[in-house]
Amino acid sequence: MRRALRLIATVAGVAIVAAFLFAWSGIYNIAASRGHWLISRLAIQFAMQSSVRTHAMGIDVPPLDDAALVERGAAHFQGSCALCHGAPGVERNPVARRLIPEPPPLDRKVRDWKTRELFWIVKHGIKYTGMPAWVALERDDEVWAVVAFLEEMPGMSGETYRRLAFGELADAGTTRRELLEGERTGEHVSACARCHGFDGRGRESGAFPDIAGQPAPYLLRALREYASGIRPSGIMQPVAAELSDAEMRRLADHYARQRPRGGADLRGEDVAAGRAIAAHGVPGRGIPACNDCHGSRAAADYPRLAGQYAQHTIQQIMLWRQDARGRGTYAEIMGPIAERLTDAEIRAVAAYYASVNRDGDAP
Amino acid sequence: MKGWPLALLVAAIAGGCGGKPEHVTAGDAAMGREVIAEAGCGVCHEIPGIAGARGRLGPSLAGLGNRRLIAGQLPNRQDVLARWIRNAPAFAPQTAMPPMPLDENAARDAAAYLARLR
Amino acid sequence: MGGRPFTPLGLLLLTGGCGGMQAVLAPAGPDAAAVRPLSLVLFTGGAVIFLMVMGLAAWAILTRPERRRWLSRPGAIVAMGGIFPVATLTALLVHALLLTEWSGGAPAAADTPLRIEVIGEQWWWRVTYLDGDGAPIVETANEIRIPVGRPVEFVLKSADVIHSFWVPKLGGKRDMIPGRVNRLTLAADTPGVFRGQCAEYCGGPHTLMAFEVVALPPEDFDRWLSAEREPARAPAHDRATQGQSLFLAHGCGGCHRVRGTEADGVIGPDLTHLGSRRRIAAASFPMNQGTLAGWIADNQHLKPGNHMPSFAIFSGVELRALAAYLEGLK
Repeated sequence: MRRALRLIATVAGVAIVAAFLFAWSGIYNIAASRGHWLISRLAIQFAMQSSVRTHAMGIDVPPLDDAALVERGAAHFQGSCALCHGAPGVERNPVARRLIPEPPPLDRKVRDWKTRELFWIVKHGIKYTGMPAWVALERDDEVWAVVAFLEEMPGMSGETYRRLAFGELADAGTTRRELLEGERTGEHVSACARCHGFDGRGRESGAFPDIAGQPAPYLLRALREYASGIRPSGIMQPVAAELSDAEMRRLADHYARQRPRGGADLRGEDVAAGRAIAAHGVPGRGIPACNDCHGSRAAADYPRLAGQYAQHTIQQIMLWRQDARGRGTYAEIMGPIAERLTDAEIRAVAAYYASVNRDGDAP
Repeated sequence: MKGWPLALLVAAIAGGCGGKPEHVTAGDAAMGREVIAEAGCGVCHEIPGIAGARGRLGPSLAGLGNRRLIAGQLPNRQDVLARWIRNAPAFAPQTAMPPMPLDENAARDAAAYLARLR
Repeated sequence: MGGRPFTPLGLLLLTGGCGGMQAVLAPAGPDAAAVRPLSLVLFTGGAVIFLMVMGLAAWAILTRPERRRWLSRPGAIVAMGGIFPVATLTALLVHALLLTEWSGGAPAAADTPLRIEVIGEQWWWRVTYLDGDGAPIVETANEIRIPVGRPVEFVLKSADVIHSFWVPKLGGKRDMIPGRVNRLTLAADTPGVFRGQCAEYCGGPHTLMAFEVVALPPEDFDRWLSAEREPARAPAHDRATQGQSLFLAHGCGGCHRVRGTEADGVIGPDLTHLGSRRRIAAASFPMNQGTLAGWIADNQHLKPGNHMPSFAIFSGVELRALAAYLEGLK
């Protein structure tokens, strides 16, 4: 028995030393230009697919057939994913194709995965590859927007994709490379305009928030909070982090000058209930009147709510409830208030504000 | 014991040497403790020896007696500290610390207490 | 912070009870004065009985058997264990019942009492002065001014959970129960400041829920009440004016009322005459520009869990402007 053990120990010791010497010598060729041996590639792929399958079990897939979600996902995809993965009508960049493993051309490969597995991959990334994790892990809602787009991608025409990804810039006649150049040389309004529009109204589809006519100090603060990660967002942080302070100021001033969106023609009990809460709050539960901070005469460091898309207002308040809206000094004020609102009150307030103009909501 | 008058003389002279010379009449640190407690300085500052003084809006005053500068700008002497307490914005226009409602004696006593925090 | 109870000397219960603004054994009103003899009787009597019992116990253990046999005679047991306790306790019971009837019940017919409604909120006191018909005259918070020598009927309610209203120098405790109205009549014999506090655990910063009763000579009280009914003073200088704009623009009026301005919130304390109060934050801290600035910027650290968020969003200059404005609301 003891001899067997000694034999095993000796062999193990020799193996460890041999492995170290092998690695130290550098004989193994780490070159990406050579690619994997077939057996390595198969083993790694097998392990990866199994791991994704196992870890994605138990993820509940919410309804994803929302055009706004798809639009949001497409716009983010263009900015952060298309370079490596290509897109309908867009080839993968040759540099990206030299990655080991090669980023799959998603419009053909998406169908290999179940929806919940796509969610897991986009959120967590994949080790030993170039696929990064989502920048803000609290924002499952953003990942679902990308997944919603991925599900629509197979068979999508290049034209449809350009409209989704570029918004009003799709018709500008510029090639993708020219747009990228524009982004790099500091034409940053066009980088924002791709999603938010030059007028700040976010394509009027509800996929992006209305930022037209918001006070410049508020927009500047929002950009800074996104850039530093105080406000978690896998979509906005990559964009904001590349802006210098001067650029942020220019952008904030540009969008502050835009004409605010008018109220939509909405009626109903929700709107009436929302008006009451906006004007008087719910004193019995410690909810002050929303207009005292968010009306047009309030301080410029608070956002205006009139004309904002209802689904965006609802989403932001829900993020506070999930503690995924950030931790700054302003969140200390709004966070507790958001937690006191019921679901029905949130919907009512969102509907009301979507229906009024900036000047129509004097407190 | 013989020679005690000489010893007494030496002790008296020696007792007058050493220690830091005070530039002004020192305030009463014990009174200063009461002043600080009643003025509510602990709402903004952590101050050792004052019950409940654990504010964190302003800097902690622990070890203030050892610091060379008040608020990073003024020499740390009791008379200067007393003037700072009574009208901080006059020295630092951007400060959040308002003028505190203490008369000169009270401010001097408070400064005496704070100077002892080492 | 908080004066007497926190000095080492004050920690001795006896001296804490003998002097100071919250001293049970130094009454300043007839109701507390009526309770004091009962307290002293109980304490002294209890001490005497304790010594007697200890003496008998020592006798029973230490003396020779023949000298302690009398202790076990039926007569001794009935007398010392039955008749004596029944007699003393009955006397105390009668005295205590008469006392409870006396204090806090219906006010004496002679003087029409001043009526003040106090609603316990988490964690402060909403104070409304009422007129003869029970209609509200003016609302304030956390500091209750009363005239000397006149009975004051406190109408006690609660907005949320059970609180308890207690001013040791003036009288006993009375609970404030949601859905119920309790009444407590007190009076102050001399002018002065008497500290009260919440005497029923109400969650969170219950320990920082105190208040002050300020007893004034009747003419001073009348003058104070008419001043209190006035709307807020306009800001007297630039910094205070800037403070008022900041106050209104940043939503402070959503929770706080300042009569005479657009600020009309009812969720938090009325601030119309905040500057004339002696203390802030339910008597937790003295009232001056420094404590006001500190409270606004970091109140969650000072009184964790209270319903006002910390407003750490202001620069130093803005905080001073707000503090100057609020202190000027005299």
